Amino acid sequence: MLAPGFGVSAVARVAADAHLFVLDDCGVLLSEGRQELYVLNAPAAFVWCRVEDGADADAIVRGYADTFGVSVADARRTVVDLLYRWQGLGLLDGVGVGGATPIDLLTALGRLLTTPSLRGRFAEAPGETARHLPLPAGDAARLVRLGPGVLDAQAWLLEQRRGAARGRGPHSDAAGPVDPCAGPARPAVVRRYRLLDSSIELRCSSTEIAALIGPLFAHLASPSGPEAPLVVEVADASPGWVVRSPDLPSLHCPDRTELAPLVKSAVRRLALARHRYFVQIHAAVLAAGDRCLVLPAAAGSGKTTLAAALAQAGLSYFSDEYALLEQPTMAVRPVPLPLTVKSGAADVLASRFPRLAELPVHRREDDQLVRYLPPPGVLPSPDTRFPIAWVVFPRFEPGRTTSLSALGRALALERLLEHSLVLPQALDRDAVGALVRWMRGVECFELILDDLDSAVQRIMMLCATR
Amino acid sequence: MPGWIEGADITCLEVDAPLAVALGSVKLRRLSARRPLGVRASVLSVAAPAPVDERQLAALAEALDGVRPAWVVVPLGFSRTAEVLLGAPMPVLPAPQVLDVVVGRVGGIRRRLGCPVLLENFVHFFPTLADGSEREFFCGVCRESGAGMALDVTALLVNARNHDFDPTSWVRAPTADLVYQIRLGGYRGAAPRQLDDAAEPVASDVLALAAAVAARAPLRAVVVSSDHALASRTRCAATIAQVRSTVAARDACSPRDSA
Repeated sequence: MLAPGFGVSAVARVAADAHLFVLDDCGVLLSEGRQELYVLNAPAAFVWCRVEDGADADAIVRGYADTFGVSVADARRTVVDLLYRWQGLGLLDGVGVGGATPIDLLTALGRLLTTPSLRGRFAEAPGETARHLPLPAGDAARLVRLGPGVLDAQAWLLEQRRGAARGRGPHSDAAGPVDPCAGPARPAVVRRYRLLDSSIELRCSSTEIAALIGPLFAHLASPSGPEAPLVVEVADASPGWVVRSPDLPSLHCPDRTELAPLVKSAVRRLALARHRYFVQIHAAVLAAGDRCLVLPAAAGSGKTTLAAALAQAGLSYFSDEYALLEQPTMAVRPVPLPLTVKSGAADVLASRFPRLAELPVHRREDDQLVRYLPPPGVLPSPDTRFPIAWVVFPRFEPGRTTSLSALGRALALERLLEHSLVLPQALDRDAVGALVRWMRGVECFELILDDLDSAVQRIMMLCATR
Repeated sequence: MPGWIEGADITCLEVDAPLAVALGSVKLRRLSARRPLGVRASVLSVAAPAPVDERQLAALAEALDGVRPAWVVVPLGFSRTAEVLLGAPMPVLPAPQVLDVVVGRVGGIRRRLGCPVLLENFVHFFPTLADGSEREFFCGVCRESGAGMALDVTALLVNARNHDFDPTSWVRAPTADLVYQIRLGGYRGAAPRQLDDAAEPVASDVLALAAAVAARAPLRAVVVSSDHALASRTRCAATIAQVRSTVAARDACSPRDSA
């Protein structure tokens, strides 16, 4: 017998724009209206699925207690709080049970400011809505005193801020010349390269500058392309140089050691802007046969060092920075810009790449000193498209034993969403469905990395299994 | 960050926290060697239900290692709850227990980052402006925590119009005594839904109010926080000249974009 406060007809309804996708024993919940994704653990996914089934609160609580081996009281607390939270975020409606744990006023404000349907109910019945959030009596009174007009105005402000943040682009010097010396000049050296589907023409004002920058892209040389090229020009600006393109803001570079990073960045931005992709993952990418291995990790985590070692060990180099998944196959293309090797990594890679120390040192905008390592081995053709078979999250932890362990797909997706994954388009049912279907087909791992040789060995063994 | 900013005729520079983290400590040390460097950390919610985001604070502390920033500006509000990221700061509903929490968090930020903390006002639609409770709360937090006030003059003027109160109440003592920095930007629209807007130029009425504050406050910097001004070196120089002629105090430019 359940405690008072439950009604047998308390059946919540899923919002029309909320969709759950099952991933292993967890769930990925999309709110199209909020443009948000939530990764639900198994218990939360269970509750959601029961709501979708039309079960009333009593049945959900009993089922939860039976399935997860908890007391009915604990199950009630968890289930009711979940239902109220989801209702507060506009994911459910019609939650008619009592007994939810009171929330604080700021959490209530957060829900009201981001959930139009909840604000609508507050406008119609402020006191009842405030109590139903649920808020303690004192905070409910404070909220009612604020009034629906204030909340509507504040929500409008939030929308304005979000719109401004989406629309804010990079600074541009288009309003005026970068420096008095800038102007059309005949380039001394012109070379063409291919990256993804873009033909890029690099024009250098001197053979000296061409000799500095050219080696970064030599492996991408492509004398002619199917369409007019995108132009990147490095012009003399005395003092210094200017890197400019019709499609990008111009950048002044006072120091020749800073030039190559700016040009590399320009080439990358141009090629990516032209490329249509579904998902971008900040990761290194290599191929074993006709399957790709993806190494998502933050900058400075050692993924480029690992990628270089794996390429030298025989995997085919795709990129040390981006995995661009294309619809509908979710396959990835090579973006084989040179590997960016920082000072610390150069020592680690010296035995594998004896000529690395001879490469020029460049200074990036973050003042990091780097060398650009041409990718080893035979590069895949620019039109290659391979599916991803493995997602391995490397984590450098000196002193620990190098190990490779399986990672749940839901947790892997959560990590990707939090740190590495960019979806350029709006979230909708089809897009998220495709993302989840893709995740179902990949094997996910965590690599604790101390010794590079051991890490390479483990990865090569993994790639040999498929 | 626009490449010409380092050579611009400004006497201090402020970067947003995400840009500071992206640039890293090596670059920031170089920037701070030329002129005082401040940071605006709207990602640090001092008045949220949950403690200040430790990951954000740690990332910022790492980026500022060895930099000795001149200040860190934090909005006096909250921009997230346990469930949602709001994307902009929301005002606090003043209460004694809230004051204690905020004072403690401000002290924590100051110790962690090793620099003065300045608390910033912003545009919002809560009634705490018109009834004066926000100004009192602001002063209370500054006095108890030792933080200074980074008075966004544009936001003050916009709020005054939207809420129909006299902005000069913020210009007089004791409030003005706590203002160490004023911030200037553009605005758009009309009351009761006027908004500050970085894409607009700094208007003459904002400069007039700023001059009134500058005449009374122990100012240490004037920050122009404007995408409009930063669109080009030429525009930046013109805005700085306009500010100097009107406010006649220290000046700065604040790039808003993240790397």
